[in-house]
Amino acid sequence: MNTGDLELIRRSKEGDLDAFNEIVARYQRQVFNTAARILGSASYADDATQETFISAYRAIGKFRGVNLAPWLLRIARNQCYDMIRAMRRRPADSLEENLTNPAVARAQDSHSPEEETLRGELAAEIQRAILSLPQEQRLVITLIDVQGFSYEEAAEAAGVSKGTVKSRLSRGRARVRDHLRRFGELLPPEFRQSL
Amino acid sequence: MTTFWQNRRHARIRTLLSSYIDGEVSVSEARRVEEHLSGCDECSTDLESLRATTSLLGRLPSLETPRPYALTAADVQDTSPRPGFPSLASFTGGLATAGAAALVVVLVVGVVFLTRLGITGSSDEESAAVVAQAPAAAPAAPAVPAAAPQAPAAPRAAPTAIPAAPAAPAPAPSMAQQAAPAAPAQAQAVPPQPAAAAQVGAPEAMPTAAPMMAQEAAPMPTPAAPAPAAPSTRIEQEGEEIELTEVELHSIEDENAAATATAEAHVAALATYEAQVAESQVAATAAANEQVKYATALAQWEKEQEERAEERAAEQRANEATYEAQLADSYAEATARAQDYARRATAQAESVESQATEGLAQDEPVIPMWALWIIGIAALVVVAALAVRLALRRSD
Repeated sequence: MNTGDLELIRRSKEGDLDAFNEIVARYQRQVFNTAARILGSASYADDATQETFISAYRAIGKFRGVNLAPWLLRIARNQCYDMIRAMRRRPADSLEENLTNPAVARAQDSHSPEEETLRGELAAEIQRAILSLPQEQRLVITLIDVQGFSYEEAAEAAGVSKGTVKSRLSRGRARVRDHLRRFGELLPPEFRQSL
Repeated sequence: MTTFWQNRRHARIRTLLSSYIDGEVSVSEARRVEEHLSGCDECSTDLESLRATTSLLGRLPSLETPRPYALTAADVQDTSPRPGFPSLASFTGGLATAGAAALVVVLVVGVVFLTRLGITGSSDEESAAVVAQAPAAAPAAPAVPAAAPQAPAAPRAAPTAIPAAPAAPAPAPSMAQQAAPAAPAQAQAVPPQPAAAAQVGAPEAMPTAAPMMAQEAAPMPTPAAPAPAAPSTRIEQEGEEIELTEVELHSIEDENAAATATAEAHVAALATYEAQVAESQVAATAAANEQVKYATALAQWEKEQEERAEERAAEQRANEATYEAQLADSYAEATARAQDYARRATAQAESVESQATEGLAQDEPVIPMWALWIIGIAALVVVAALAVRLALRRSD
């Protein structure tokens, strides 16, 4: 957890909105990225992130842990699942936005080539591969492989055991791999042989 | 048979590869994986492909947030469901505030009113006492009621060092007015002195005093006036007094000196009294300020109580909403978990089925081994029987 989180949590529990907004500033990027990868839509992720922090503000009084990130991501997960359920009832709303939105464009422009981030079609194809996964696998893949959380944090965020996280991650990775094998021409040369 | 067990081990190792990449396996599991990888190209390839997949996923760009998500007071306010009518807590809190405000108003008004009423009442009593007990000070008496409102704290600060205020016509009118409220006590406590003072002071400062008043003061014994009627004669006939004897002159001088001393004592006492009055006014102002402070603090405390009650009510509503949300989440989670279990069971069944199919198609014999054994043994028995029979026939 970040240094000073405990103090911010304590002040937030006393209704200090400024302290809570400091928490928001620290974790908004992680929450937004998780929501965007799960939903596949920056605009829906925007709504989910906002709702996540509003819900978190209302529930901060009941927070008893020390690590805020898994707690916030669990709220974000619930918000995302609610949105997915709502969108399934309205098939007109598509999740296939591919995150080719201005936010992604800015993110891509802001990175130098040395950082070896993925661009364009390959990034969109990997996002499609993530979206092709069942919700639970999508969550653990996003948390562990995309966001870099530990198995324990992912288990806490997903509300399951570490063993379940392992099995979901294993199956999810295999499915993403199988999906990407069909787009070998998009892959960087060093991955074409090994994938 | 051997291939079947190999396939099973193969599948088990495959499930560990993902965790093995991240170092999330036990020491024994890692050893088993490594032993298997050393002799299994397929799993080695699998491991490399999973590593590549993980690496690709980790290279996805981190998205920038389209905007800051800092909450405003309006955001928080909007999320707190509010009832259409005031809550009981806020209603009682409002009543308490109104009651406290009314109490403060009554207290302040009451203190001011009682203070004024107390001064006026005592002044009236004092003026009555002055008229009744010190008629010689009649010229000063009319000023008493007018002086009363100007000295609100006089009763409390009545100085004991004013011996003959009612009979002190010599001081300036303003001084007489200020001295008047405190006079009765002294007049009652030291009755002889007013008469003596009047006797001395009257010729100097009150030449127009009524003869009747002088006559009332006359009965008081004085060294220079053995005859009861003599003082009145002197007052009315000033010109003749010059021709009086030296003894009488000395007496008059002594009286004058005594009157001067008395007047000076009066001035000093009045100055002291004025100082005490000023102190009393300061004290009264300080007391009023204290009351105002107390009233302000009381109102603030009431307001805080009201705010706390509202906060508690809002928190309770938020808790209820959170509980409902958690309940819904738990239900959704349980549903999702059940679906997951069902999917896993189906997947495992499919996996077992596919493995069985693969085994049959590739390595496993169509007829089970135990059947072959039985068939072989039966064939041997038949052959043996035939051989025995053939041997018996030959021997025959």
